[in-house]
This record gives sequence, structure tokens and C-alpha cells, in this order.
Amino acid sequence: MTEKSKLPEALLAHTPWEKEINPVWLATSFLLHRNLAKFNFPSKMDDRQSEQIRSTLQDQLLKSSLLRNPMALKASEISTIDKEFIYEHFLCFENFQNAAEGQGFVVDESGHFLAELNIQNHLQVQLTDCDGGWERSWNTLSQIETEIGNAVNFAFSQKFGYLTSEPYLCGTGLTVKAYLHLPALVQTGQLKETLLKQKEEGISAAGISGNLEEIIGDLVIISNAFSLGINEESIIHSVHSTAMKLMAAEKALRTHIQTENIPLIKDRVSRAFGLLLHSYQLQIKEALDALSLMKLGLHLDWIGGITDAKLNTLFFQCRRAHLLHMLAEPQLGEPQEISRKRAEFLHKNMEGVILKIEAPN
Amino acid sequence: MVDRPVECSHCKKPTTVIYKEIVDKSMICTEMCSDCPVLQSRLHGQTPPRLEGSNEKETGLFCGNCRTSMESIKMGNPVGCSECYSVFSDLIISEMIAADKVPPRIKKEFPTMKNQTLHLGKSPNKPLTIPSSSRLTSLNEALNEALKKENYEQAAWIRDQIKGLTDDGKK
Repeated sequence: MTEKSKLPEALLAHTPWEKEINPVWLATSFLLHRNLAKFNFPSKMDDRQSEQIRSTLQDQLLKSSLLRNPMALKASEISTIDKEFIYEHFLCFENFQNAAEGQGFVVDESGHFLAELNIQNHLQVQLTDCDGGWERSWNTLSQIETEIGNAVNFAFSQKFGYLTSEPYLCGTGLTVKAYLHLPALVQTGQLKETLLKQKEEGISAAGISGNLEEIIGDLVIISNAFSLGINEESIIHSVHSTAMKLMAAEKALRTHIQTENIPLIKDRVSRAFGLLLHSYQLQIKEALDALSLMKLGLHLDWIGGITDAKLNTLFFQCRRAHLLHMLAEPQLGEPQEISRKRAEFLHKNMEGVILKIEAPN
Repeated sequence: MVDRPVECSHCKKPTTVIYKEIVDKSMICTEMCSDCPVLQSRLHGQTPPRLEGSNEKETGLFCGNCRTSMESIKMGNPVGCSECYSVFSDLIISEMIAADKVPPRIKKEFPTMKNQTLHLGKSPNKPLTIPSSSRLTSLNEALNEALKKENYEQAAWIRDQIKGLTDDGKK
């Protein structure tokens, strides 16, 4: 039985990073974690309290003038695929599959805002900037938090700051994530060494799976490791300073790869091209890794007939929930069937793409 | 003496309150400082953890409000409520230090700053905006560092970024 998605059309139609702003630093997300004073945190709440808090916070968010047509979604009323879509769209580390009664989300038409209600904390508001205007995004998120804070009391102590379910998030309760596409550093095996040299104190790095040992699509997420004993401005500054240095290292290495015509990278780009155009089945990691190499190939002028923005869009669209929504099949199928549909989808979208690398004689 | 909260033995404040509670035929006596969160939970009518349930097998320190145990926090489970931060204050900081989740300043000074404010930054209901000049500050720092490391290629690229930003500002 097929079930119609309850997500807003604007969100379904939107893919982050669809503008070609920066090929390396794709986006920055700001997340604020908050709990309400005098209530137990989500892990210790009963159903009645959860529902009360979800409804209170949801009402406040829906009133916000800073959001574009906000829409509330009860976790118990949206499908598994819809939850997975949210997880994929906002590149969350935590999975929402088990989110149920008393939990929920608020999204808006911009496609950049997400509020999680009673998931890990009572409230987590997130705003993503994909246009390079991160000061504006942070200031907007701060204003949204202040608006809500005027209506409810957040759990706060002078000693620990904002109190959160995970103690490492207490203090400012702020997490800043910079999404960097670093194929040159990853493919040449220089990522860890560069991170050691360039990473500022209190900064951690992970792949989109949340683990640095498993980098998917050569995408590295730089974020603050803690938020106690450091103020918001310093957190933002450290993340951005580290991102800036990694971006410079990636750019320098790309120039080196291009001038030296490194055969290993040429081979990987060529193989990725073949994989995307000729596979019968494609698993998600294979697809994202191959798309990443296409982006690198495009930058090095080894690939033509496609734009960086289009590849960014495909990066989201080939993930399971996005793919099923696009194919108007909002239900989970067999993994092999999804891999086949993914391969077919990518074949169609890669039509006209050309490989400029000449085959060796 | 039973149910003495860890806070009082660690915070070194003199014991100012002796709280006695009689339930059925047993009496529970707790000595604590006036700021003690356990005292607050007792005064707000919550039953001491040890008296709940006839076959109580759990031992150790519990949050009087949400029943989160010290063991649970040690195992890395989520904190249950705001009170937990008072009850398990030292434990939470120790665990964060062990996991490298605090700045070096707190690591170094923790033994002497147990009751001091650790939080820096925004307080409730005070909006915080970041000036647009903060991007230039980040870039200038990155530039200085690149020059210090004699990484001239990186420095040139960062200088271009600064130029781009300052040119935009002039327009």
C-alpha cells in the first residue's frame, strides 16, 4: 500500500547546496539544544508530559515571524520514509526511525530550518546556511531561540549554562557544523595528517555517518566538540577558522593534482564515471563516492557536460528516501530493488556527461 | 547516616541542615548544606529514593527528582533532568574531562573551581548576534598562521578571500 507523504511540497522539492556557491565549503549548520525548566528531559518523561511539551514548543515555533510558513509534523503521524527524508535532508547524525508519540518536527518552506521536539532534548533548532551568509543564519537562529525563550523558561544554571540531556552539549548548547567536500585530501590519504595540523583545539571531524573512519562521498563535517566553558562567538570562530584552513589545503592539493596529472586520481575519476553510467545496481556509498569523484573531476576539467550544482542535487536525490519520494514510491522496497532504481536514476541524470580523460595507449 | 548527598562532602560547605523523615517505623536522617538539591527535592514532597518500593535493590547515588543513578551517568546514558546537574555535578565534569569534552582551562583548574561558573556565553532571553567582521577576524588569524608556517600558497588564497570581502564591503 502506498502512503502519501505528509512533508510540505516545498521541502520535498528543495535540495540543499543546489546553488553553486563554493565547491569545497558546501554549507554551515547551527544547532541549539534546549530543555524546558521544571520538566524531566525526554529520556525520563511520561507520555502526557511529552505531549504537553511538544505541543507548547510547536505552537511557539508556528507563531514565529522568522520562519517561512512553518509546518508541524507529529512523529507518530508521518511515515518511516518521511522521517528518513528529514534525516537525509538535514544530514542528521541521529536516526528518527523510532520517533513516535510525543515527538515531532517543525520545518519551513526554506528547507533550511528544522526543529526536533523531544528527540534528544525537548528542543533542538537547526538552521543551515548554503549561501555563504553564515552570520545572518546564526543571527536568525539566535532570534528564533530568543522568541521561544520569551514564552517558555529554558533549563539553565549559572554553572553549567543551558542544561542538556548529553552533558557535552551543555553550556551554550550550540553545535556548529561546517560541511566540507574534501576529495583531494581523502583520495590522496592526506586527510588525517592535515586535520592534525590544521584542526583548532576543541574541534572534531566526522563523516556524514558520524564517524571519521567511514568517510562517505568525501564529505567531512567539522564541528565543535563541546560547548561548555566557551562562548558562542569563539565556537563559531574555531569551526570557521578550521574550515577555512582545510579549504585552503584542499584547493592547494587540487592544483597539485591537476598540474601533476596524478594517475591514481585520474583512474579513480574514470572508474567513478563508468560506475555511474554503467552499473546495474548501485549502493548508496558507491553512488556518493562516485558522485564525489565526478565533482572533483569537474573541478579539474576532466569531466564535462554537468554542473557542480547538478551533482550536489544528485548527492541528495540518490539517497533512499529522496529517491523513493521522487519516484513517487513512498514505501520501502527490497535493498536490491532500491540499488537498481538508484542506478537507473543516475544513468538518466548522467546523460550527456563526458569524460575528458584520454585512455592510455 | 544515610542518603547523604555527594555534593555536601565535595562542596566543603558546612552542614547546616539535618533533615529527618519518618515513614512507617523507619526514620531517615540526612545532613546537608542549605543549597543541597536533595534538600530541595525533599522539601517539595518527594519520597526519599530508598523508601520507594519494598524490594529496593538499587544502591548508590540517585537523582531525587528523576531517579537517574550515578551508575547510569557513568555509563554515558543521558542526564534525566536539571536536578541531575546539581546532584552529579562533579561526576559530570569528571566524565567530560575524561572524554576531552571541556576546554583545557577547565581541565587544569577543575580541582580548585568546583563551585565556580563554568559557562561562558549567552544567558536566557538575551539575543546574541555575531558582527559581520568576525569572518575577517577568522581569515586574518588563518592568514597569520599560514604565514607563520611558511605555507605561502595557502596564505595567498586566504589573502584573496580577505580582499574579496573587503572589496564587497566598499561597494
